[in-house]
Amino acid sequence: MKVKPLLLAALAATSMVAVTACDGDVVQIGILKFINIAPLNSAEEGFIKALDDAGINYKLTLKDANADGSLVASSSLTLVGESDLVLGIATPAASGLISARAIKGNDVPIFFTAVTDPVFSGLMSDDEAPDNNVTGTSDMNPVREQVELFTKLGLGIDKIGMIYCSTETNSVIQKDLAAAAADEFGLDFVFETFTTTDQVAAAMDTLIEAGIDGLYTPTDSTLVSAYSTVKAKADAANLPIIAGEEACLELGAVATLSINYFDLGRITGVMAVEFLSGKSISKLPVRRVEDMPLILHVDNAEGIGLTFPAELLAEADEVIDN
Amino acid sequence: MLDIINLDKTFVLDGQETNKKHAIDHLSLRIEEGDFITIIGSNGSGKSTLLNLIAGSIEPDEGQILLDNENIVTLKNHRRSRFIGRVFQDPMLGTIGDMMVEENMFLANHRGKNTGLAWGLKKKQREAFRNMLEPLGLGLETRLGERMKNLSGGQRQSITLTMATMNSPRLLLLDEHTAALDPETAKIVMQITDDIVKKAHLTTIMVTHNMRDAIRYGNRLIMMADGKIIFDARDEEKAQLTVEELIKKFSEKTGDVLPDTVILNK
Amino acid sequence: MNIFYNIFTNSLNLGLIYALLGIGVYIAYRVLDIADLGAEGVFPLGGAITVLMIVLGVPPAVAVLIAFIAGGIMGLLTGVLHTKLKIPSLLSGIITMVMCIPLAQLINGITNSFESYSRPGDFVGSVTVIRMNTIFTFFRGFLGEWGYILASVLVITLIIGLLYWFFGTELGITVRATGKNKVMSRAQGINTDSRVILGLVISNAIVAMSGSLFSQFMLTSNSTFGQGTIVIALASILLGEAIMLFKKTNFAVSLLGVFVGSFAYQLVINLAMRVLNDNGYLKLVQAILFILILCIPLFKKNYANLKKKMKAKRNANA
Repeated sequence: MKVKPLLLAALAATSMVAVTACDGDVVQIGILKFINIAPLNSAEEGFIKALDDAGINYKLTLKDANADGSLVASSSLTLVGESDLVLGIATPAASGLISARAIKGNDVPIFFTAVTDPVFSGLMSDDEAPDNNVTGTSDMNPVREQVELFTKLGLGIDKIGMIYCSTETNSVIQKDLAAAAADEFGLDFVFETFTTTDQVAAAMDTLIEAGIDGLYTPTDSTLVSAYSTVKAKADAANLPIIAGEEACLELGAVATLSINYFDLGRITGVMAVEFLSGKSISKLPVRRVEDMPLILHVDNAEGIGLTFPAELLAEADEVIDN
Repeated sequence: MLDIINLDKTFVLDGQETNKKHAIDHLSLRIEEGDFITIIGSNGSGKSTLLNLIAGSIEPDEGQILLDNENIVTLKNHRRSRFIGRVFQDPMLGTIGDMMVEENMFLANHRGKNTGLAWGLKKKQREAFRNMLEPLGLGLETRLGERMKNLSGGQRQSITLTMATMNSPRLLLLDEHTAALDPETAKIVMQITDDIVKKAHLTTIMVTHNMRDAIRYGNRLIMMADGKIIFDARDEEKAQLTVEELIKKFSEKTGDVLPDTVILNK
Repeated sequence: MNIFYNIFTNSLNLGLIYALLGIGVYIAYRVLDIADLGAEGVFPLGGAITVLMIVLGVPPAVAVLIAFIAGGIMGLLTGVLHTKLKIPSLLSGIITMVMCIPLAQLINGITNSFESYSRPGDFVGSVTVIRMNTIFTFFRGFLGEWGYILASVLVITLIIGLLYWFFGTELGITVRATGKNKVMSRAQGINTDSRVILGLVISNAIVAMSGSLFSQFMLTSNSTFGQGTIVIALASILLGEAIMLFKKTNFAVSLLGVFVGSFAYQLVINLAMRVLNDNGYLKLVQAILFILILCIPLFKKNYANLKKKMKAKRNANA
């Protein structure tokens, strides 16, 4: 077919024009954020701060997909086709960029942040030696250490329950980790799931009937939207809630080890800077935040009749006491 | 050929049990093969309801409708339509405006046959359709590919008539089918109707508001009031009727006066 | 230069895939005159089934066919709910949609459990398979980006061809008649219930096929991919009708119009996306655009009337 060589020539011409049209050392950076919510916004800010700190000369294109699949598709295609480096914030954005890159057929490096488990989600096959020009940071919360907190409350807890939305992949992962941690710390472990928020109350009832002494709530956006129900049921049974994320403390949990999303984004930015300075992606394994401050909410604890032991208070990085 | 036995139908208006209309009142009627019956009566006399019951769009409360000794009351209306042809007053109802003339005719032609994946409009069929439209004298045989909505009311009714009679139905129901047309066009369509019915010897029931037409066409005239048949004339008795006599008959039988709309519709 | 090229190819690529969606919805919305909201569930279901099949080693084209059949079954469900159980069409579609989404998530869960790095969960919202073998893979090999476009063009041409043939058959004409005038159709002895069901089967089968293509495009099956697809489909249909200046002459031309509308819609979205710094306003723009599209027939009529008035005035003054 005569069209093919013509098309290839046109393709080559336009990409050459693209390359020469770009300024030599201005890095075109595209950021695709899946949805406008606080943690993702913080991650975005952190990323940009890292670039600024390193003095990178960049031009930024920011896109917000509004949680809409078709916008993820068109935004990804746009960014991948016109950037030297792209960042996907949250799993759907990251996978969108990866598929767009496969379509465009170029080799744009893809960074991600706020993805809980990139391997489980199918973004990469090896998070320690990335082999598909994709890397980034994981916001996997320290489930093991959070579960361990139950043993430090001084309440003699021996059975914990967990509630989560079964369609959230990240929650499923956390459940497995929580079960393993409970086993490690000699705690009995039960869990209940729901698929829509109107099922939360019933799930809580089941857990309470099973005789749990404490409740673990993972990072799970659907669960968070129904948190008031969870809190009400837990209060009625005087259950201390240990949360997977800091936002849940204001909503009623008594303690957590938190992840700072700004920090997470910043680390991602640092990795991007390292790449721009010449490091190969395969040498940039997936990172996590190292600092995970212990935060205790005294008011919520008092609400269920709990006083934190002195050792725990001393260990805490932040104590909320109004 | 068509035996209507003790047919009864009451409508509940506005869902109120107290507001009922006894539309057809234990009506019995025997129609012979080849009869061309005209039905007249004031509004609300039950003329259209009777046609609806025969066609199957509504079900009676009591009674039987025997077509060649077979009770068709339980037959669904899309099945009944395989042997009953019908033309409505509204030219829009009998055909599909957005589809072409030939497609409409295809549907009528296809009535009662099994539907498969064969190509719908073959050349032979088009030829046949052209031959059917030519005798109407309206030049429609050249307009097969046009959409029905581009045709005038009279043209549409003529085609609807052709469609209704295409597959030699056992019964033809005409529900004031010229009432919505202007007098000139109505005359043409009535003439076409008469030609078609006569040529194919179709058993026909025609509801009309026009007493002259009722007298002039057909071999039998029926007058209805309050869901009952109050007058039934055939052949010679019918041929000698005049409009004045009919009006008089109506007052005699019902103690009412026919409304002006019927009288003036000469 | 590069930007215009990207705008064109990106819009064309997505425009083609969503055109298939639009064609599926067109069958229900325009031909049958039924507002079937089931598409929002059938679209991701098609994707979920496709990804599972491909992961199991089924050739991508066969996976697309299986998704097509599954969509047809969902259309059957909607049809039966509506015609036999007398549930209003709007509700019937919603019921189907509500059933499809958890079904898609269940299938995602199965897919995930076959991938080497998985842990089986019952319902999984999203699963990505980067090294997925898709129907695009073959064409991408020698045409790159245009391979995707070519593959989509082939699929759409095939579907339009099949639909054009089908709606010219005896069965097809009766389906169209049912959609235009049910009363008249029944008067012609047509079993309108079975035609409605058939139409919905075809419509949903095509929607599932478009979902299948989309998930192969995105290398991901995500149960939320269906959100907003009705709006995109309707916008494509209406925009296409507004743009195509011919009167509705030919069924195939009408279907082509859906593609034109889909492409145009993606172009506008693409352009709007670049102008607006914050994509947050994009949803608002989409809504306004949708309203404008709906008003186009009105504008056309007013413009025609205005022209007539001007002409009359000119003639009067002459």
